[in-house]
Amino acid sequence: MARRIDTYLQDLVAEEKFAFYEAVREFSDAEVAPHLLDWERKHLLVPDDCLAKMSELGLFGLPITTEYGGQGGDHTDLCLLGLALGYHSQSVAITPGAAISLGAKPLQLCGTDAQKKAHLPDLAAGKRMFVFGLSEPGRGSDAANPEVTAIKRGGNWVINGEKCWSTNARWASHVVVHALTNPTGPNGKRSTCFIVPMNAPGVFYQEMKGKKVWEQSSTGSIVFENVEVPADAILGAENDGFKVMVTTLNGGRLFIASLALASLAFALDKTRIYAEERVQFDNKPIGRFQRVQDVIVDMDIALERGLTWLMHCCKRFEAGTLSREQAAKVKVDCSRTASDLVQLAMEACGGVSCFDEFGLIRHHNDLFVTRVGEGSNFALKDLIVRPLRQP
Amino acid sequence: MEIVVCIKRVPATDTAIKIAADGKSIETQGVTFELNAYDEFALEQALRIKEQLNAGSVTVVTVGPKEAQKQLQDALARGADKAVLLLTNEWVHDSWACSHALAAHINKSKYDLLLCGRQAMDADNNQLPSRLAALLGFGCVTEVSKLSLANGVFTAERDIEGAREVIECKTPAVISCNKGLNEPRYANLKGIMAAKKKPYEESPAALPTSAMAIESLTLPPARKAGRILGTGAAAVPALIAALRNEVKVL
Ligand SMILES: Cc1cc2nc3c(=O)[nH]c(=O)nc-3n(C[C@H](O)[C@H](O)[C@H](O)COP(=O)(O)OP(=O)(O)OC[C@H]3O[C@@H](n4cnc5c(N)ncnc54)[C@H](O)[C@@H]3O)c2cc1C
Repeated sequence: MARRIDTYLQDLVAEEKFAFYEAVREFSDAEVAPHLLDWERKHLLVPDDCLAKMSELGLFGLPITTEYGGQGGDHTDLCLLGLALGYHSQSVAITPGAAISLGAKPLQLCGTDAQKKAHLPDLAAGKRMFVFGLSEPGRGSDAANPEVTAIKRGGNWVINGEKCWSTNARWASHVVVHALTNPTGPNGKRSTCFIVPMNAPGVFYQEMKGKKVWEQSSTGSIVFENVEVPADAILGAENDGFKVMVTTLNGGRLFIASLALASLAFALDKTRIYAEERVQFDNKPIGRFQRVQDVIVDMDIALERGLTWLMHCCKRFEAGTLSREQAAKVKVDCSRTASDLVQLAMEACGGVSCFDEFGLIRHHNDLFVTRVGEGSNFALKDLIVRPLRQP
Repeated sequence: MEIVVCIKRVPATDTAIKIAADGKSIETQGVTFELNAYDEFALEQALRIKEQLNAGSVTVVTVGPKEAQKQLQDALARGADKAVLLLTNEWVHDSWACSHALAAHINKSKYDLLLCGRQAMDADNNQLPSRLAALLGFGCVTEVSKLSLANGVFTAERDIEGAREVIECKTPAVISCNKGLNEPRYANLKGIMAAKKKPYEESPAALPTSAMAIESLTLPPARKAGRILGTGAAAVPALIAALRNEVKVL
């Protein structure tokens, strides 16, 4: 079956980028899609052999330069990965996605040469994984002033507190911890980021149980009890940690938008095909009802528009000209549009949408994360409105 | 070892085939094409042999239309060193003619090993590897599902009726590859970028006039709805009667 998303992407990206998208799509069709139901029904996280195959394919090293053993890709490639893997499963897609956009990215953007040399080759090979430790039980949207603290002791730093919602924690070798280091400094200049090994004494990880979205993705809570790290564990500048986090999130939000569009692309194909197969009244397909057509047409419009916008933002991100507002806007719009439409798609298909094997319910559930993750849409509008209130 | 892999661009296996207006070919509008699945095993095996020996080269060759460039690029991205497109706009369904076109090209250089898929999934002839071996004067093992190489000698295993046959063979040889031989790799981004810089050649296919012509193509008849004759052991006599008298298979 020809996917609608392919027609649009083929037009929007260069030939070799489309070839990469196709390779990941083939991988996803052959190695992910046939196993998803089984993984879901057994409540498994992405199994080790699937992780191994993804690293063999170089996905964990996608945007890392070839000099460090990576694939030398850019942000467009990353979002193409999100689209290709997310078509079947956002949970699977976010695993390399977060490892790259939230894990390796801050190191690439803000790391010293020594830090890059120490970590990037193993990150590229999938032997190490960094997680992004911004959110805390008491600090979600209000993340600039963490409750996790780091205090200088001799030449070292001692970290205490708890991070949560850490995607990929189960497989992480290191966590980038955003910690309060200068409580009386100006807002935005009070925190510092540290690269902390997960096996350091005093680091405790626990999977957050009971999560009914992104079910195959690991989401961990990580506790720090007097964890001591040397000064060269600082990522970026001292007391400039929030900037490291915020810069990273710009790219991450584009990836979240790609996941939302991947789900929309799946729902569009599923619905348009089911609507031609399912017959009701006079033995004719439900696709002849205009109210059903409306949902399909709206999904198609939203998909083409979203992809065009997202690919444009990726180029700006690469050029260093993407503003925070632009990254926030594309994430807000793709996530809410896709989740609203996928809900309508379920209604258009009817009762069959309740079943896991039909696929829509998975995307419907997972789309919730795209609305709240990497900045809740409500909170992001605070950011988007700022330039609008200037004269 | 110098290896050639013969590949073919075929309609994707999930295509709903429609017969074209001429009644002799398939409608290609809206059909997606892909690398013949059996050829993927051949390509993968070639790459593994090269990796094992840490020497030699892998050349992929196809007889096909301009669009087959995509499948050749894919093979280069997975690790082949060189690609050759022998151009034709005809649908190549005649193994005799195709083997001549391939042999004409292959004879220009010295190769030790030719790997093919066991059959192309469009025409399903299952003839090309043996024909090619005969034309080139190479040894030939077909439908191989396990292959190893030691001291210049291949040991090939193939499934035959109710048994497994083990064959030793020296080069030069043609080996056709079956499912189960290996697990083909996917192209990665680095490979895709590198593929653009690899040698790529195009020339008209030296196809002789086809030895056969397709008179007509028809789709298999639609399956009739099933009929339940009863349940349990009581239904068996009726079932036997129906199989004997109506379907005439007993
Ligand atoms: C599955 C999953 C994976 C995640 N992975 C990571 C990760 O890897 N690393 C990480 O650091 N974080 C991660 N997060 C955390 C995510 O970034 C936070 O959930 C998000 O920032 C919102 O924080 P919160 O959930 O604590 O909501 P809160 O901050 O408690 O906000 C709750 C709600 O209040 C409203 N609200 C809050 N602030 C405003 C405002 N300014 N204006 C208007 N309304 C507002 C919104 O409706 C918001 O949804 C993940 C979250 C999920 C669900």
